[in-house]
Amino acid sequence: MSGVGGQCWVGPASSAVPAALAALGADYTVAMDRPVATRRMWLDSIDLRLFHRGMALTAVENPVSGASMLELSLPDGATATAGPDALGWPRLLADLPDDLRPHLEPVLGVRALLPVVEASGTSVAGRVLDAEGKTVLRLVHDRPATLSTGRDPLPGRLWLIPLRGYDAVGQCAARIAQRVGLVPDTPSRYPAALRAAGVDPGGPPRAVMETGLPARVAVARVLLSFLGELEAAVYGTVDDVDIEFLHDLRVAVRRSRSAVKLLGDVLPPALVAWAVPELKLLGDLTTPSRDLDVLLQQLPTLTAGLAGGRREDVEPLVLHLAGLRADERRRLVIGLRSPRFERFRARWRSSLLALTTWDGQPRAGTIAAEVLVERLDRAHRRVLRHGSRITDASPAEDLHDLRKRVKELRYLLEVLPPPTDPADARVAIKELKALQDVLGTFQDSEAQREALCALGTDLMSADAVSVRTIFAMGEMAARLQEDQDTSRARFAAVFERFSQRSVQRQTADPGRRRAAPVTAVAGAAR
Amino acid sequence: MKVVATYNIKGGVGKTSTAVNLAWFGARDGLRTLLWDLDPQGSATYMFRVKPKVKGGGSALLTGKRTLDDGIKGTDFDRLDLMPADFSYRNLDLDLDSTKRPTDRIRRLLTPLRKEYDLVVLDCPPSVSLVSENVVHACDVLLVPLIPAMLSVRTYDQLIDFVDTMPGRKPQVMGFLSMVDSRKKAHREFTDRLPNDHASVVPEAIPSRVVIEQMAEERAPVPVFAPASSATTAYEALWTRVRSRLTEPA
Repeated sequence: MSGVGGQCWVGPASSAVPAALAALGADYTVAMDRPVATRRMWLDSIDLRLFHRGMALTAVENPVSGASMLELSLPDGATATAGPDALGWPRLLADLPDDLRPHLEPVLGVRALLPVVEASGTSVAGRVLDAEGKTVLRLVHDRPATLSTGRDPLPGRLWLIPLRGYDAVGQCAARIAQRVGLVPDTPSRYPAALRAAGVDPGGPPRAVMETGLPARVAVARVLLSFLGELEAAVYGTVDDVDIEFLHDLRVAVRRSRSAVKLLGDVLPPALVAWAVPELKLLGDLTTPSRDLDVLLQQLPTLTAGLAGGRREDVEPLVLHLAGLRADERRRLVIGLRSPRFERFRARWRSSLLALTTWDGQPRAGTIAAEVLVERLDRAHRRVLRHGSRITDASPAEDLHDLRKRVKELRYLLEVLPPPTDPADARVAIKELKALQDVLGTFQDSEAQREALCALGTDLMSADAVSVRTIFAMGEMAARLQEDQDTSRARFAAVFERFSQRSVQRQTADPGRRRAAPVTAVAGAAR
Repeated sequence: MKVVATYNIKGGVGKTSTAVNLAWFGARDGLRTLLWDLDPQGSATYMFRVKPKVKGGGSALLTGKRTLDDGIKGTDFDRLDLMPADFSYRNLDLDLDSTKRPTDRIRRLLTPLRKEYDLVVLDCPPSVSLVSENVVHACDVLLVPLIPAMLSVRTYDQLIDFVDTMPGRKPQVMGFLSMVDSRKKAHREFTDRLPNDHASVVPEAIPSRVVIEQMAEERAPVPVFAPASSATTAYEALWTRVRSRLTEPA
């Protein structure tokens, strides 16, 4: 039950709500209706975006028709409903009812909604009556519900919904509820449903280097964590739930590659020699699909307000891209379902697991903190060195190369323990991110422009497009060129700020190592 | 917020039962509805099992010591609230007479509620008075139940003349036949003829049925305890007509 107004109460034990009803019955006439079976499904993105924004979307099934009503509760307590709805899940924004889409679009973006928790139970509505037999307070008893995940039941609860002009009865009922041990709860049952289902809204903990461990153990544990992230993204990628699953998979691969490259010398050389090409192969497998995803996502922006363009002019391009994406996805799915990928996962996991056990005895060799600080220092200096060499005449490859170095540095920073000075760390991360953004726009613009040229060649050779489409693509390519030029022009200033910050910190604290912004963040690693 | 009033100079013609049932249908259709029982007899108040008591009485409302908001009560039905009657409403005419702009008072009392309610139904006492003049000024549709009798039609004509001569904003006047006994030839003839003779009389007619009288025993609108009755069907048809009038562009 949601969107009913009033106050919701829960108790520590399943007997608390019946006890409250009995106590109410002692003071008032309470009339309860017949129990109604309820089946409720909470929907959210895989990363629980609705939950984190204080929202909850439920599909409440009608026991007779089987169709569901969708109820969205918003952070301000308002609700929006839509239905009956008979389509299945997962579903992207475009397939959601019009009444809900405006509320969900800013939160979900490209992420799909999928069932997170399902609960079946009964609900009983009731009324507190005065001497005239008039309702002066409404009640809803949501009885404990069974979750499809088979964990703890979803606890029962009691809604007390005062009627206008009968506030005194509502206050009295609230006192009775408190007397029997009930406590006020949030109107949404979603947090309780997540708890009962054992879903941690915070998600899996961030992979962090345990700096006191031997370097080999700490690096293996971080890589194992990345493997977990990779594996968690596989089913959504294979099922094409939403494009972010593939993105998450690629990030996990890139983080793994980066960690192996920068910290892999603490691992057995044979393992590294095997893992490096395997991880590269996995990255390469995912690249064409991701590039097409990004281009398709970008198209509405690129085509908005084309000088002479009309929506239908780019339609052949959209169709062609969709076809290419389908082909690439087929290849990707074959790759992710292949025995080779399974073997990679199994061997990588077992090898890393074997390295993560530590008996706690001090051993010869470095601890993780020393390795990490030294690598961060090195990665930071590499970024400064590469960046300072870039001029207006530098080829695009140099900027691409710098972007890779910046990413490596970022990934290393991300495995640091929480910094001792969060404000300082935020500044350092912000500047690094600004640098990444400029380099990212530069490279993405170039890659997409090149892709458009290649696509134009394909379409023309197949004689599949009109001149209007080619003109529109030309205009889009020109826009991308503008974006790239702008990024390039901005690069010098952004990089200057990044490198200046390093110098300032070094001057302010000569005791720090050379990689000043990085050591600010790395303080906790020591 | 739209305002509908049920009004007739005569008593016992079906004003209250119409107000109660139409308000119920409005709430059923999702409109946030307020029924204001202006009749000191408090029949609508009784039907919703609410005590006929307004703190400070009618004069406190008119003098601004209390607002409508203070007196409104929730009913047993979702989205349907009631402003109860109070026996002091019998003096409402005198109280109105002592205020500034006495013919506009009810409309101004409703103004603060315009964002809270989609529909207000006024159940008026049977009289020609300052109260009824206020009601005519406050409403968008003036719903007039007519019993199938010649004198009733004559009074209706007088009412239309009165509204026509009113200065300023005028409501739509909508007459409908009430308490129609189809066994009686005269009633059948009235039902056939009156909507043709009077453009403002709608064809939807409320039959004379026991279930309507039972509202006072059941203390509930007809659709609640007799959903399949012909009276329910008739009130629903009338509500549909009223609703379409309310949504017509002005």
